[in-house]
Amino acid sequence: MTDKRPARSAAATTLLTVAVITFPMAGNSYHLHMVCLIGINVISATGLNLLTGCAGLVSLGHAAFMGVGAYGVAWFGTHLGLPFYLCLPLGGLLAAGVGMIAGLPSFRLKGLYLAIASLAAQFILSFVFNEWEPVTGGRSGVTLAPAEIAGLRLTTEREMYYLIAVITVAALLFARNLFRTRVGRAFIALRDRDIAAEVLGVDLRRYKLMAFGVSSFYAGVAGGLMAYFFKVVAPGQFGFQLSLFFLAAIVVGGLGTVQGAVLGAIFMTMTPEVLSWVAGPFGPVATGFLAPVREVLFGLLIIVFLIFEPRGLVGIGSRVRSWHPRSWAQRRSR
Amino acid sequence: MPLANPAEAGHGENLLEVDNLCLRFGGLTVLDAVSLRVPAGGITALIGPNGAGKSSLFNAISGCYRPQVGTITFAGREITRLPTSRRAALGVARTFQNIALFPGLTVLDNIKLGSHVHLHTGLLAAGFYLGRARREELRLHTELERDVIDQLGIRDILRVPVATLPYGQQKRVELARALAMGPRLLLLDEPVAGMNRPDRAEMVRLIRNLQQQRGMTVLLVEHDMGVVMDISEQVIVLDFGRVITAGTPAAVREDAAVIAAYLGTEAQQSQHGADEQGPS
Ligand SMILES: Nc1ncnc2c1ncn2[C@@H]1O[C@H](COP(=O)(O)OP(=O)(O)O)[C@@H](O)[C@H]1O
Ligand SMILES: [Mg+2]
Repeated sequence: MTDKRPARSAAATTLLTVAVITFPMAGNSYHLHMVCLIGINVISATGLNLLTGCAGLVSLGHAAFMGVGAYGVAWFGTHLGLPFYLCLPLGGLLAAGVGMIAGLPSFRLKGLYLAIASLAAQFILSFVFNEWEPVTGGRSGVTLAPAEIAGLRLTTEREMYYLIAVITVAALLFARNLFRTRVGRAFIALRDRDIAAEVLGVDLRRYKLMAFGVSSFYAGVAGGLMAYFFKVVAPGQFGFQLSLFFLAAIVVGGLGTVQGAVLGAIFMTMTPEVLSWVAGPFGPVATGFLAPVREVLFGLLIIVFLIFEPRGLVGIGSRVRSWHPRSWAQRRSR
Repeated sequence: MPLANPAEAGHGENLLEVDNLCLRFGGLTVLDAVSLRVPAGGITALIGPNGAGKSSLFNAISGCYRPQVGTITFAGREITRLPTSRRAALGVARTFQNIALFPGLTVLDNIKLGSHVHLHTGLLAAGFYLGRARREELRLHTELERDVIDQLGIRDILRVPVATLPYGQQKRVELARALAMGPRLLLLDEPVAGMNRPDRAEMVRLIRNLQQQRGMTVLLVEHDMGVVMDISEQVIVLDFGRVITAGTPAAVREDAAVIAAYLGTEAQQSQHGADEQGPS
């Protein structure tokens, strides 16, 4: 995850920056809506990829931590009257705290057993979202006022877009930087060989908690942004399907890489849209059929990618890039 | 911290002292009242037939196995129950018999992990990667190049994923990672097993040089008696989880019990030119 070609990557960065800034002038409100969702999903997927892809700790409860962030943001804003710029990080921290507690079983459990423990966290938190009415508003959820920065109310998609873009970029840079240092190395070490990591002095518990903390912080911030984006928080938003959605995103995109989370989040956000474009002309029966098909599709994608391309879209991309006619000719002449 | 037996401790001359160590797995006694002394500086060889408990002893010293009875004292401090990761900070480093590199990391990052305990960057500093964190990484890089990478001649493979390396290179990288810990005690579990003769000779020379340059203490497991006699100041013989003898290479070679337990078969094997000792 380091830059090998500084000149090229600087050019790419400039191009990308210009594209991000000018996009709202080109896109209509549907485009903006989708790009905002993609940004939020990129943040959350990056968080899950740090935990599951890099540190090897499988979580089936990621959406629940997004929910904690979303409800947290709403509560801090409505009940404590805190400004948006405090609510969002506090929502992230609240999710990080809950995520670390939910991560405690990882001291004892691994693999499938840990996945089941995280599933328990998902269902417990979903239950809390549904039932703790004074705070979460029960089944109907809570509404919140739009985010406000320096007197500017972020009500439209265009305004939210810039906020989401800035936070997404920051989240990606932060994640990439981790892997330049001992923290990222320790994550991968504990995923690859935890015993050897310990012998090298990596305190496994500390780094597991750290991975859960930082991952749920990402989830919490993404959930908080979602709350400000939809201006309503309801328990149905943060159910198990959404956890599955993010697991599929990182598997499809590529486990353990920053690009993987980005590609996966884009792919997974767009897939249902593309499906409904395709189904649209066939009338309401076809579109009605889509809802249950979606979950099946997520599951199928996970399985297909795990079997055929464990490196995900990132792996496919690097294979396409390394393919050029000469190497093909060489292969044939052998 | 008071030593268990000051008279026996040799007034701090021993870097490592193992006393009456017993390790059992269910009904299987793997280490049976093992006591030994590893003097500071120099190379001590640990020999014994397959299944004697050599790797298990390394595992107990480095904290991977928890012995039921006995004590392990490192640099005058009892570490028997110390968590594994804390022993690295005290200066205990090891390599594994079945190489334990991290396949998800490049060679360079594998080696850098060796320096984990000497670095201070925390989560936030790492994520922002400003000033201190960046300087720490850059300094680490130069130090490792100077002190480890060039000495082991692995500069050309730093960016390579470890899984693609041939066996001998992987052993080198694992040694490099252990050296990056800046250890006081280096435990090497069959460092030249599975290598061909020229590679072996070079590795042995390397271990010797590194030990002398750094003044660290080396405890190594090795099957090749030629190698053992060549580089070690002290030889400890383990058989069925017991220390059957310990002393200078020359003295151990004459010991009847050793010949019976181990050297006889080994001598025959090397006469037949059996170069590769199948690691367990
Ligand atoms: N984790 C373990 N569980 C059960 N038995 C073990 C374990 N580790 C080692 N042993 C047993 O301990 C004995 C000594 O093994 P080991 O220390 O690897 O010997 P050596 O390294 O001298 O060849 C063997 O009988 C082995 O099967
Ligand atoms: Mg062994």
